[in-house]
Amino acid sequence: MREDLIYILTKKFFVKKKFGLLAGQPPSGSDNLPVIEIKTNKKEKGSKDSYIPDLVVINYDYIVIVECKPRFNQGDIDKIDEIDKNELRIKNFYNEILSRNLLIKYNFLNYFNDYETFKNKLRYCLSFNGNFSELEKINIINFSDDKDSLFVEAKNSNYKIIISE
Amino acid sequence: MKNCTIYSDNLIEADWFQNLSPEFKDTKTELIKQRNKNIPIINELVDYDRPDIILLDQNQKPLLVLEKTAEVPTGHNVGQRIARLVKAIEKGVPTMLFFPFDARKHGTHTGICNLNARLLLAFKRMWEIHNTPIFAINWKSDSNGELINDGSEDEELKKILRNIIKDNFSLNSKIYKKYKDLNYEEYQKRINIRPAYAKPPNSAEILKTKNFLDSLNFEIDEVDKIKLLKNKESLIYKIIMTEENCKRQDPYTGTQFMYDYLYCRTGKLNYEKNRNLFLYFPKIRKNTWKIKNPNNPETKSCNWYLIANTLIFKDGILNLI
Repeated sequence: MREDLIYILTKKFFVKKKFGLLAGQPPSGSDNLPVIEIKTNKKEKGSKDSYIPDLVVINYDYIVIVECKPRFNQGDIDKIDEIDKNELRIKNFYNEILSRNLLIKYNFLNYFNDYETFKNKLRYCLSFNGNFSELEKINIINFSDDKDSLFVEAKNSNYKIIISE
Repeated sequence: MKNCTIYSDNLIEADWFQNLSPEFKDTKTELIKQRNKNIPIINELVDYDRPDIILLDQNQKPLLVLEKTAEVPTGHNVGQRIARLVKAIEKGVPTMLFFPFDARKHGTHTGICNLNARLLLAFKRMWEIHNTPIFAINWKSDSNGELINDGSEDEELKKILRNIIKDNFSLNSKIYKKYKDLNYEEYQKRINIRPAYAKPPNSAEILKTKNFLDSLNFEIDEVDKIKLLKNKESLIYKIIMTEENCKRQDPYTGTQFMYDYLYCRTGKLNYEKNRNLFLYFPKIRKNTWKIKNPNNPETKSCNWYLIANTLIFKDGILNLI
């Protein structure tokens, strides 16, 4: 399955589950969403060492960094793990969202009104086609060749996204 | 429009375009493949570069071409994408560019960037020379320069498409004339605010052809010189690349079209000019260039050889049209 198709299906999945699309940078081409960079150090120039999530989606309970890939990819797990362990990056992510007024724009500011709340509501998700096994900290959307989706929660309860049907 | 086909560079853009009109609900989508791997009309339209969207009717006649970008509209950014559009207007296909006229650049040196208004005049010239609509549509931004992306940003484009479809894709659709006028009003408004956009940029200078050729540190063959001196003036587009980093096309090969139509071109064919267009590479030797950027029709590097009267290096000239 093509990466751009995974991206489209992932967006449709989250919209159907009543999430808002906060930001996004598709694997190729362009989307109408703002692009958010998560930097290691705010002072660095340009995009060096910065990480741009494929998608960022939000509802009252969660803000989710989503990576879309044709297949399961260990590199993406490592990348997300690096973000999760790095307090500075998470703070930079929060500040970037605040500086772009995205929480105000989409009326979520009251639900993410300080950094601690933001951090506690931060979740991760990988979407892809093909085989997989459950992950500790990362939720999964697995797309079949027929484009059906299967949502698999992260094993660790602090990282789970509970999606109501 | 069940029998039409949306050709796109990418499924995300195809999906976006398809949702701009209920008429496209059952329209097929196809991906644009590599050069020379598509049906003939698509190969022709992507000859210079690949636009985001090409809409074909049931007889594979192109109905419109559309390019979309969220990039800030300054400097070379606006010129870079023009090669994706020019082939369409050369072939009489109405063409649109959807992008922000004013948008915030993010990063350390954040600020609101305003449109390089030369683009709007270049479109007007292209339209008049090829008698084919080409115009810009503003992707609106808020007062902070952030792009609108709540869905309302597409409303203007949707309205344009409704009109074009209602008029059966006729080149005489009134909506085209309306946007030609709107674009020109926008151009005038912007050069009043920033008059520098009414003149060539620092990288492009209009000089007497003879004076410029005489200033070069190498001899030019007399026959070539006579040919180049036919136009008394030349637009010198100075491209400061080094030999190490000269294997590239963007943004220059797109921007050259903007300068050609703005300052040189008088007719549909690439040699119909009242000024020469010179691409000038003062830091590069001719033979290095030939190795790194050959005139190979299988790659985009052939775009260097499309419209300039000649390419000028620190030790010689290349490719006279």
